[in-house]
Amino acid sequence: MNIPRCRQIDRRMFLRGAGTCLALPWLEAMMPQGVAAASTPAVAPRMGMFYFGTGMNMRQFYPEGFGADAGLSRILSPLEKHRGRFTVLSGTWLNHGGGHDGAYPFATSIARGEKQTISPDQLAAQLHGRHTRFPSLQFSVKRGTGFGSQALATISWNRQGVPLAADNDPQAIFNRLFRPPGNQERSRQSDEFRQRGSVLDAVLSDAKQLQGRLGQFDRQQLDQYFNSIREVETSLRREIDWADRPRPTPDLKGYGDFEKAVSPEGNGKFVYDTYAKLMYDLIALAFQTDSTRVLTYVVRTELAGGVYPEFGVSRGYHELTHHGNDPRNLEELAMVDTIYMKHWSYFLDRLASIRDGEGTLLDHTMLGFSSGMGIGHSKEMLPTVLSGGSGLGIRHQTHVKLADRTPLSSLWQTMTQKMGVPVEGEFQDSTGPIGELL
Amino acid sequence: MLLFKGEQASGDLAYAREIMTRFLPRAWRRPVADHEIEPVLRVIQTELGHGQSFHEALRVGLAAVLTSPKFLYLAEPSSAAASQADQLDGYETASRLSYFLWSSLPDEELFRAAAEGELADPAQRARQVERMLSDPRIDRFVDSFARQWLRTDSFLTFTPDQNIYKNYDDALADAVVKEPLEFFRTILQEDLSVRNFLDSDFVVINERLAQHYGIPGVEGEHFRPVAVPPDSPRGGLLAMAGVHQAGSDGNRTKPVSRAVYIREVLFNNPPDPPPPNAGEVEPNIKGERLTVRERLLQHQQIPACAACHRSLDPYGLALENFNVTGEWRERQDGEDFRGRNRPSLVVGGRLPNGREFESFVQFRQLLLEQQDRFRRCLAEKLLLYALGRPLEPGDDLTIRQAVEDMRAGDDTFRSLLISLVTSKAFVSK
Repeated sequence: MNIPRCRQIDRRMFLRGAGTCLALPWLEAMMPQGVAAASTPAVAPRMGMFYFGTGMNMRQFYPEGFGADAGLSRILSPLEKHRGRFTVLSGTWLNHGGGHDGAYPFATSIARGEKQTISPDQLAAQLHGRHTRFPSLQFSVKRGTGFGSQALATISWNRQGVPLAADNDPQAIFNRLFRPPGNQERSRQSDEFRQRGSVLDAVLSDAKQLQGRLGQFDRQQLDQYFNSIREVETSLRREIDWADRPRPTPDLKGYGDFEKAVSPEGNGKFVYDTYAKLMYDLIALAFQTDSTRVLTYVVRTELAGGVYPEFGVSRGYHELTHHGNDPRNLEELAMVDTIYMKHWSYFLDRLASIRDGEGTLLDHTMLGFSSGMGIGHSKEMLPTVLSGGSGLGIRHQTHVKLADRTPLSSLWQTMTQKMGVPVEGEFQDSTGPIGELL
Repeated sequence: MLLFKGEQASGDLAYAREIMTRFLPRAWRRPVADHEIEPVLRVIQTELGHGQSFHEALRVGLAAVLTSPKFLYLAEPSSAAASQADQLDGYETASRLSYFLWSSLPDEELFRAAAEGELADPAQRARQVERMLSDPRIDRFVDSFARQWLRTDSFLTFTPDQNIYKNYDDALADAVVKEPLEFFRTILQEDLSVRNFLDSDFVVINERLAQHYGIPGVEGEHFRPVAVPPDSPRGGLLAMAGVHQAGSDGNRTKPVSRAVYIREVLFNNPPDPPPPNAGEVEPNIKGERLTVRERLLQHQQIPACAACHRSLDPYGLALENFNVTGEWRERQDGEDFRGRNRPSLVVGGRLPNGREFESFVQFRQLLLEQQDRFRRCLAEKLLLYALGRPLEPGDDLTIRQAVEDMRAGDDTFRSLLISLVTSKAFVSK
């Protein structure tokens, strides 16, 4: 039976309602199946949102000068060969970011502790999800949601403001994407589908019995439960639809070994460098095979305590960000940031090497990364970069100076719009799409 | 236990009904009407109809029981009688008690007391508390309430710099998180006064911590109460290394965050949040050798900062004798302070109530003078934990009564818990 086992439930969570334990909620949802199947465009747009927790050393981040020929900073120097395929956006900020609470407002502009709402990736998933096996995917260096803590593990939220759990195990992700079920698994699967359906019927009737006898506040709690049930139902229907379609079999020449991958909390020797590349490869493969068109990845959680002995860095990343203007701390911070940008460059290499329609996969994929803080826990000076998407009409120019305090949501609005999602009225606290990129 | 007839019994729907009739009241913590059993039986019947084994069918049925909102939520639906609309019934009271003290479902005795209507009587509730306190499940109260109250989860947010604090190791990290919890456990189990959190003549430590604190004669990994030697500054929550580490950022102390901890944890009196660009204590410019205190006082000169910091900083600066890892120090260490010429530390100050102190020990004495504020804080935190809702002005009477009862009852957790459980608020929705 595929009802996920919950870890020990905190008593407080329990009282607040444990509906989130029910299952992985997929937001794809409310669209009638197959309506738009005929109108798939020749080239599909893709988007990814990436979170680098705890900011970066912004003193060594921004390029020198503005425009296409701006000189790359030390941290960004690994991206030199991709000049023309990315733009650094100076001047972005998160109104409710800074400190260590920035992962919450990152995608939605809504502060930690407030009721969340649907994130831009999920808006895009509503439109594009019906074409793919997975309406969207959530990756992270940390498994689950991390909800409640500052080290949030996901930046995706569904329409009810429920955080969508992320996966962090390359092997498990690979299997989920590409491993075809065996015969035994297939028959097991049909049992599973039936069992989940009948459990859903039973708990729904229980919930209805409770509903009439609760106060206003508690009824809202129960509404969340109903929503979760509906989402499980939708995802069940979708899984049944996709169960008989064969999985893609991408050519894996030149890729690392997913079967032997070590996850961050797994057994075996975890080497971040290997792990980072496998995760980026999986994203490239997921986009390439059109398994999904929408993805979020928490590359580094807030307060991440990782150390990087393999690169000669003595203190953990979080300790380094409390640099206290100590030159040695700032030096090590810049070293670590540069490592992350080397991995980013590797990722862009990969996407640029894959043919997609008339261009490359990178041409048809918009990748936006930033953080919940800038430097010294500020809510300004975010390390914001948009990469890829030239084939979708993104005009790159290396370094753009935006008006001071341009909300990060303006970037998300730009990307969401290019995904073809109609935006009606206000988009979070955005001041509108970023004209310089269009 | 679930298959109460043993493995030989024939697995049919009638048996499944018997099993669920016994199991549902436990899972849902109350008597269950016949019609409530039907949905889960339909699940089991479907599975049996598809040729699944009895065990498999039962397993799927259990999944339905345990994902039902009746299991996942502590539902307290409105009762039929309007006069008692906001009163908990017996079973709801039993659950409130058991989740409060045991973080789990009621046991048979609580179910019995609920069925016989005893729990409406405050004296009977007090009797149940006495019984529950002597049950091993009370350990979960420590693991849940004490952990949240004392914030031990946040103690290791910053790792001490390995180049500066070479003695710091995993065993110590583990011990500093456990110390306050074991201290709490001892106070609870031995019916000691909660004033010990402010100052105590004993510590609860293991060998690794004893070594860290310079207390001889403690061997082995288990925690046990040990008398504080006369010349040691240890004793009370604020002399515990975990608190010091939580209020440090790896290579220097953060007096302001230590102060915030004290105001929130001991007095439930959080300071106003800092303005967005408050920043941090700056490092020394080359050649300067200012202590953290001196740099913080510079910050106080800025008028916008002064008002808050004057009433906040003294609490944290009083702890400056404890370094990043909670070791006692007389001179500044950490950062780039090395060698003999390290400046010596000044820890004196004046509390918002005007009382002055010159040392950590005097400071701790002054906190003891504010024990009524501490009692009130503890009562508030516990009531919130028990009810699972924020406190309201109407709860003030309950809290004041609890403070009275603590004073009269040697300040034990027992006296506080009984006071809260026998209050009207405890049995109200």
